[in-house]
Amino acid sequence: MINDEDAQDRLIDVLLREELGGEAPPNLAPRILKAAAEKPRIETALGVRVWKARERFTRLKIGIAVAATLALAVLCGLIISHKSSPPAAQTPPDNTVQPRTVATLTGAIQRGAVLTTSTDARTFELGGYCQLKMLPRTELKIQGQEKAEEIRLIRGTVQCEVNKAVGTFVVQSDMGTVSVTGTKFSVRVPESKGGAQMSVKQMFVRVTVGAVLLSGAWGNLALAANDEGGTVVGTVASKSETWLSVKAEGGDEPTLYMPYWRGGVPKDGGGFDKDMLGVIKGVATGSKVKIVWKLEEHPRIVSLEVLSAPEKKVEIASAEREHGGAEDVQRKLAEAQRKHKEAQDKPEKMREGDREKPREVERKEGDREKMREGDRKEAHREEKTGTLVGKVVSRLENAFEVKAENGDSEKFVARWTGGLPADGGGPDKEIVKQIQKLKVGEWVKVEWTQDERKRAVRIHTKRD
Amino acid sequence: MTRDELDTLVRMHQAEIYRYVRYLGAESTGVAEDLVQEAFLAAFRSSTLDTPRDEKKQSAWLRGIARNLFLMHCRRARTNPVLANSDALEHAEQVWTKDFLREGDGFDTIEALQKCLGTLGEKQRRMLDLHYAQNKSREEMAGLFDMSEDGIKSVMRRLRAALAQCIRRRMESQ
Repeated sequence: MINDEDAQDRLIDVLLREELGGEAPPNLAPRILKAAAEKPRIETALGVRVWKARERFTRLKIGIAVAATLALAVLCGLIISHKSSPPAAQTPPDNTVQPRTVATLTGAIQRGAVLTTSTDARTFELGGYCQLKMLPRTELKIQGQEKAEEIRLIRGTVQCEVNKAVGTFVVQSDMGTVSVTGTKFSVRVPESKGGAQMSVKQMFVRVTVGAVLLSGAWGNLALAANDEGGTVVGTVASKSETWLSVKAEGGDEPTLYMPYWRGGVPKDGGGFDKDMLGVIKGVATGSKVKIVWKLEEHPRIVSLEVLSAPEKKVEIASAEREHGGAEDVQRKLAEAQRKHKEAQDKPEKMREGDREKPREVERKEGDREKMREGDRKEAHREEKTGTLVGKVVSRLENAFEVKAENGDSEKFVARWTGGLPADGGGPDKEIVKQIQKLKVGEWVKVEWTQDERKRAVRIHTKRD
Repeated sequence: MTRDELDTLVRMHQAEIYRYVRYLGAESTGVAEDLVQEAFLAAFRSSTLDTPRDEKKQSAWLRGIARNLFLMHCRRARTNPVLANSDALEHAEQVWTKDFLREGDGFDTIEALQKCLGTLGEKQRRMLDLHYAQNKSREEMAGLFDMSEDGIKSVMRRLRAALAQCIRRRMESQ
C-alpha cells in the first residue's frame, strides 16, 4: 500500500520530468486514429510486445539447443584434429568485432570496439536500455559509459530505440551529434561509392517516436516524431534565386535545398523566407557550404554556413562586390538564423498553416479519411481554431475564463512559444501581458487554437 | 463512438492520460505511450456504451480504463509490485484528483509548479536541473555535491515535498 506522501512525490516527479526534462506529453492522435481506422479488432501494441517476447523466448530456446549441438560437434572435431595434426599458428586478434544478436557490454562487446556489418543487419543492446539495429554496411564505435551510452557512427545506418528513463544516449558523427529526448529514431551517414571505408559528408536523422535533438556548432534542431532532418557538407553545384543544389562531399547526386515558406499563399503575400533568399543570393556556385536542413515537403534550410569560397578568385570578387562582401553575407546569415528561430517559436499554424485549408473545410470536402490514413505529419500539424466573444468572468495570471452570450463559458491560457520548457519555451509573454490587463466583466473577442487546452492567440478588447 | 468523436476525445485528454500513466508508474515513455493508445482504443471499442459528455466525467472514465490497463501491464510484466493492486491504484487516483486536478484540468497545478520553481535557491535549482534536465545519476550528483547517494536521494525527495507544499500554498491562496 502506498501513502499520500509517496503518491505526491511521484506526482511532483512526473511534473518535473515534464517541466525540466522536456518529457512533454506526446501527440498520439495520429497514431491512435490510424490504429482505430486500420484494425477494428485491434491487436494491442502491448499484446504484440508480449507475443514478440514469447516468440523471442521460443527462438532463444531453439537457438540454445542448436548452439549446444554445434559446440559439441566442434569440440569433437577439435579433439580429433588435435590428435591428427600439428598445432596451427595463432592468428592475431582482430580489432573489429562482429556483434551478436542481443549482446551486452558485459558480454562480447567492449567499449572502444568498432563494429561492422556487411550484408546482414545486426541487433544488439547497450547498457540494458538502448536497442540498436545496425543495417547492412554500417560501421560504428562503442563509446560512452554506464547510463550515458554513446556511439560514433562512422558510416551506414543505425536504428535506435531508447528507454530514456534509464540513461542518456547520444549518436555522434563527423556531421553532428544526435541526443535522445525520445524513444525511436534512425541515423544514417551514407557510404561513399568511391570506397567502402569512406563516408559521405551527410547525415540523415529520422524520428519515429518521441523526439531528438540534432546539435552542432551551428546550434540545435529539435526533431519530433515523423520529422526528418540532417546536415550536409558539400559544394554548391548550381543555384537559382530560390534554391541551392549541393553535392555532398563523397556523394554523387546533388540535392536541392530551399528556404522555409512564410506567410500563406502567394496572393496573400506568402513566399520564401526573404532573409534566407538574401543569403542564397550571396553564395556563389562552387562554394563549399554546410547546411542543416529539415524536411517539410522539400529539404528546408535551417542554417547555411559558407565554409569556403569557390576556387576561382574572380567569382569571389564579383560575388562580394555584388552583395556587399563576405561580412555582409555573414550578417545576412546571422539575421536569417535569428528569424528562423523566431519563426520556430511561433505555433505551427502561424508559420505555415495559411497554406493549409482550415480543418472544417477539409471535412466538408470529404478529404478527412485520406488525411487520417495518409499523411500523419499533416495530422500532427492539424489544430482546432476558433473565435469566442463574451465577457471575462474570471482571470488568473496566465489564464482567463470567458462567458459567451449563449451562456457557454470557456477557459483560455496564453499560447505556447519556444518549444519544450527545457529549451526555454513558455507562454507567449505578449499574450500573458494582455491577459493580466483584462478586467472581470470586460468584453473580449478571443481567437484561439486548441491542443490539450484552448490557447489564446489574439485577444481583442474595446480598449484596442 | 464515431471516429470524429474519438479524434476530439484524444485531443482533449491525451496529455492528462499520458501524465497519469507516468504517475501511476509506467516505467518508460514507450510503455506510457502504448498504455495511452490502448486506453483510447478501449474507449473507442466500447462505443455501445454511453460515452460521458461532460469533460470531467470523460477524463475520470479514461483514467479508469488506463488504471485497469496499467494493472494488467504490471501483472503481465511482473513489475511494480507496490502498485500492482487495485487498492493502491485507487489511492493514487484520489491523490491525483485532490492534488493535481483540484477540480480543474490540472493546468493550475502546473502553473503553480512553474512559479514555485522560480522561488528555489541556486543550489536546489541546480540539483533539479542536473537530475531532470541533464539526467545525471545519483552517483554522479553525489560526486558533484560531495554527498552520499542516499543523501542525494533524501535531498531530492525533500525538494519535491517542498515543491508540493509550495504548490498547495499557492493554490489555497488563489
